[in-house]
This record gives sequence, C-alpha cells and structure tokens, in this order.
Amino acid sequence: MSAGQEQSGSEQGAPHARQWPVKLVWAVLAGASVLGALLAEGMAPGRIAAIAAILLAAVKVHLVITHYMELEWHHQPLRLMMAGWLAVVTAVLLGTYLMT
Amino acid sequence: MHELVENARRGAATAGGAAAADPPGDSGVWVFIFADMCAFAVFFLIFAAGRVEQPALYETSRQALDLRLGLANTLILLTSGAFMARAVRQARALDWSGARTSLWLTAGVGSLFAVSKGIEWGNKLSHGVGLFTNEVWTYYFVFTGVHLLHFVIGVVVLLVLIGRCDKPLPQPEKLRWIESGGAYWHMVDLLWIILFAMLYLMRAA
Repeated sequence: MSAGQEQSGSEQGAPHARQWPVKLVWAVLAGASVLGALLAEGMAPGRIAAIAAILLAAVKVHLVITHYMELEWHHQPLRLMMAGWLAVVTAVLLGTYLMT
Repeated sequence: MHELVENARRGAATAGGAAAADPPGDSGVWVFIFADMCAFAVFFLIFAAGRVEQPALYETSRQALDLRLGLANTLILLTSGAFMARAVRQARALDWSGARTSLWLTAGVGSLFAVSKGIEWGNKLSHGVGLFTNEVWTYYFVFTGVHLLHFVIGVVVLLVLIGRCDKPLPQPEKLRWIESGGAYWHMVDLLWIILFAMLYLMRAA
C-alpha cells in the first residue's frame, strides 16, 4: 500500500476529504485489537478487560462504517440506522455483562 | 472525469453535508447489509442473554478458545479490509489497474481467514469439542459458521469485481459495483469485530 497511491486519490479531488488515510485507519483498528487482546490475556482485571473490549469494538465498528464503508452523516437514513444498530448491540453486550 | 462520476451518482450532497445523499454503491445492497446485520444482532442478543443465565459455563468455554488465533483472524480481516478500502479509492480515481491489484490483495489476504478458521475448528473438533458439547459451543460454531459463509460469499463477490475491472463497462457502473462489493466485504469485517469481542475477549469479573 504505497503512500503515493493513496495520495494520488485525494489529489485528484476525491469527495471524501475528511476521511482518514487507509493506513491510519488500519493502524488504529489493529492497535485497538491488540490492546483488547492484551487486556483479555490478563493485563487488566476481568471486568475492566471485558468493558474495554466492548467499547473498543464499538469504536472499531464506528471507524469501519465511517472510513471503510464511507458512510457519512449526510447519507440518511442509512447512517443513522447503522449508528442505532451499533448503539443497540453495544448496550446489549454491556448491559447484560454488567448483570452477571 | 471521476468528479463527473461522483456528481452524477451522489446528486444532492453538499459541501457542508447538510442535504441527504445516496450512500456509496447500490442502495439495494445496503438494505441487504442492514438486514444481515440485524440478524447478527439477534445472535448477539441470544448469546448475551445466555451468558446472564450461566456465566460460569460461558467463562469456562471462553477460556478454551485460542485468543491468539482469534486475534490473528481479526488482523487478517482488518488488513484485507484496508486493501478493499484502497481499491474503492483507486476506482474512484479511475485507477482500474490499481483497483484490480488491491482487490486481488483483498481476496488473497482475506483467504487466510478461512485457513485460520479451519485450523481453529480442527483443533476444537480434535479435542472432542463440537457443535453439541454445550450451548456456548453451539453458538460458537453456528455464529462463526454463518459468518464464514458470508466470508465465502464475499470472496466470490471479490472475484466477480476483479473480472469487472477489465470489462469495458461505463465508469459509474464499475464504480458502483466496487463500492457495493466493498460495503459487503466491510460488513463481514464489522461483524467479526463484534464476534471477536463477544466470544474471545469478554472475561468474567
């Protein structure tokens, strides 16, 4: 994935000017995944690791929707529906975990 | 010229983003994607409710999963997704050769997911853990199996997209195909992100 190729797209006036470079999105997603795994492997108490895993997953899904799927807030009602889906799934996982 | 393609397709989008606009790709694909995501949300709800009933069983089963393979699967899909995102941006810049290369990389890297998943399932089955061992393993095999089916469909879609890159089709049509396929591939990625957290990472308190 060369930086030159990525840059050429934006230089030619791609409409998603606010989008992050693909490599930056990938680095954040991969870093969050490794962090979640390290916490689950014992770097943090169980409850903190689990809550962090859910919240990190929510952030990662948000990044995928925004920067990989390229759904922006003017893509209505779809963007709102996706945000609602993520909010419901996060709330279900978090809420039921806190009940145990 | 790609600006003409974009303008024709996106229509009402404004610089400030105030007006509604069509999403990338085909709207019918988005309906399918959202419906699929809702079906998986039901899976997640069933699993979460089961954990409330039997937290000890869910934790014991979770500990038997190979976290490193789960992380490997995640990194494979995220990397494959990055190549897919690049393919869409290259297609938008009318770099069809670059897009085709990125689609090959998407499929090639993504295929490692099936290999890794096969190793993981094989390990479990060889240790006597199967679909009917307990409800957690039932959910594990069913959910990851349905997800793997989506993955396989995604690989077929990628191969179709690679073929379309070389065809003398109108540019907006080719772009719409790649954007639609990309959205589907990212859905596979997105669902795995939740599955990974839910199955592998949610330790008991």
